[in-house]
Amino acid sequence: MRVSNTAIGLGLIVFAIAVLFYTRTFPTLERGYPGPSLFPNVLAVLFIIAGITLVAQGVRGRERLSKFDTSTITRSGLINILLVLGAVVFYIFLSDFLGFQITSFILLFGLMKWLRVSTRWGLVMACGMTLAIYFLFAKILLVPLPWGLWGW
Amino acid sequence: MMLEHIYTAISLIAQPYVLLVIAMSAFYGLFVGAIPGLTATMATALLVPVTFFMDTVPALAAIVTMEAMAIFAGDIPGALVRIPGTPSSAAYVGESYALTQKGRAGFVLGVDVTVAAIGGLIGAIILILLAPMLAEVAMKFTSFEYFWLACIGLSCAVLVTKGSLIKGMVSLLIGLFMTTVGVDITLGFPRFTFGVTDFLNGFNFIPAMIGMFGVSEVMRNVSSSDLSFKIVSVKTKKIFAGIGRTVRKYKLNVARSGIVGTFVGILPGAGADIAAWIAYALSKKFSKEPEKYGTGHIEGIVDAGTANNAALGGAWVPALVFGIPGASLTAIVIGVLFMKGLRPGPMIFQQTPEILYAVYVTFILANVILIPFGVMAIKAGNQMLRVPRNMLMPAILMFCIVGSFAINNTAFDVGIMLGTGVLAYFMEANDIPVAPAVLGLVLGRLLEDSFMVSMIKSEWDLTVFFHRPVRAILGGVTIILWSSPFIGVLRARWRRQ
Repeated sequence: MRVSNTAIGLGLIVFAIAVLFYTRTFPTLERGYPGPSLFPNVLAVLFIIAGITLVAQGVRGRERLSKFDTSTITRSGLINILLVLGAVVFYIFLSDFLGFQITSFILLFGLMKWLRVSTRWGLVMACGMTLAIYFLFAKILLVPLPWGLWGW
Repeated sequence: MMLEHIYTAISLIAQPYVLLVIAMSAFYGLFVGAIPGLTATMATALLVPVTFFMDTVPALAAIVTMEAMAIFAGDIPGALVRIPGTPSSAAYVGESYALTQKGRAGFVLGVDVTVAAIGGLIGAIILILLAPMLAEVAMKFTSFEYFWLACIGLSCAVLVTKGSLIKGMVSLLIGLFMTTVGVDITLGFPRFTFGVTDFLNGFNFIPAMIGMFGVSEVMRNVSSSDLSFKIVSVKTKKIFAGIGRTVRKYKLNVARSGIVGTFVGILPGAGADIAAWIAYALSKKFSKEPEKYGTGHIEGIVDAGTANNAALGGAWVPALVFGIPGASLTAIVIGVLFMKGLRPGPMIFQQTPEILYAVYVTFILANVILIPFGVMAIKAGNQMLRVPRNMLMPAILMFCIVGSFAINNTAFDVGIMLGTGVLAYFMEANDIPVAPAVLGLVLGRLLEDSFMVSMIKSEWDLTVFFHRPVRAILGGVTIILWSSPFIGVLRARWRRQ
């Protein structure tokens, strides 16, 4: 997913200005020396310099501001990416409720099915990977993976 | 004294448990390296949650072994299907594949594994000789010197990036900015936490690494339509026939590229991939037969294949001595050392020398066992390339999730992983390199803390940064590095006139 240099540059400038404003609420050291705000402010100024340079490069290269190059990614590729991100969000919100094993199985089987793995292989791999990860992390490394309502 | 340390280190390594860890990480490294799209850095990031639960010696041994194996194994798909397994093999895939088409895949991979082991050993020897000497110097450093060192490290990381310098700088700034989240050193003021208590300690490094190298890699892999590889069969019966002669013929190339590779590895920000490109370019420049390059000539492969493995040892030098990573991979190693309560720097050499020697011993051991393990991987090369990626990617994603969770047992870290993964994917898609951001993330705190502490010590007198000779030299180097791009532009303009 490519966007124009101009857009990146403008984004950085807006972000940096927001930082500059926000850090004004930070306390200062005694005798007015800059404290917690110094480093973020220096970075913000550098962000602005980099942003202006990128905008200048974009303008000089006659870039379209709204350039949104979709040729680098196919539609199905984009859907795949969104599903991967959705799967992580699904885990974050539902693992405490469903427990690790069920969440992991649903996530793995769902993604594999979507990526066109056959149902039989999908079931085998999703079960196998879930148990392998569970065994490694919960049993050997003793990580308290989420138990869920049913204690799995 | 030294013998005693070596003896202790060997006894630490020669435990059944540690040897098992080494063998398993060897297989892991070979597998990840041989699968295109999975990089050695990603393998390290995914290994960290597991090493988190190990003692320091097996944890570091696992990483050292894994990286040596992965960087070699990247050559396997390069030769078989013309796709580099890791970016470090990219410099010579064309050359390797041209030889494969002449029916010499076994020969190429045999040479690859041999020179990789030799290169790795050269890197290890330079690490062993150079690190203690530099540590002597580093003993005298104070917060002023560390400030300049961090500046030099970060500047190098930007200057060596391929492509746009400005985008390298943007990447660095992103990494540095991430370190400003959390409690600040001067007043203990919570910055950019927006009331979220999980942010008080700042960005958790390991979930961020897993996001940047694991999740973004999964995203990239699922976004491209399924690649099915056209598999070439490798004759592996007499894999070492003619290899001894080839390596002997190019022994000077091996020595040169071993040294060049190690020193490129020492440069912050430049890792095995850049080492391979530079060694390949030098090889062609000094070759007696430069016209053969690109047509399936082994000389360039010898050079680049030596250099990328040599770079691994080099990258550990600044990491161990100054706590400044030589590449993204050692940036993660520094994270691991911190997790183990070890502060990388000259004090390690005095307080826990046995750990250092254990790293040295593992480096030697890993490169010696690289040959038998590597041959096994060459024989299994075809099978590894047949592992379907549409099963592998969901599994890796699950591993990323659990790995991020395992460090602090919070779902918040999984969120960090997701956020940094999306960020890294977006950056790479727009030609903004990720490595400077990683270095910024590792060094940001050191940079800010050493600056603020120095300033408060000297009551805001900026000239103290140049007071003593070592400081002044380091400061001078930093200023030269910063002005070098401008000087380059001015010179180009002057020449045009």
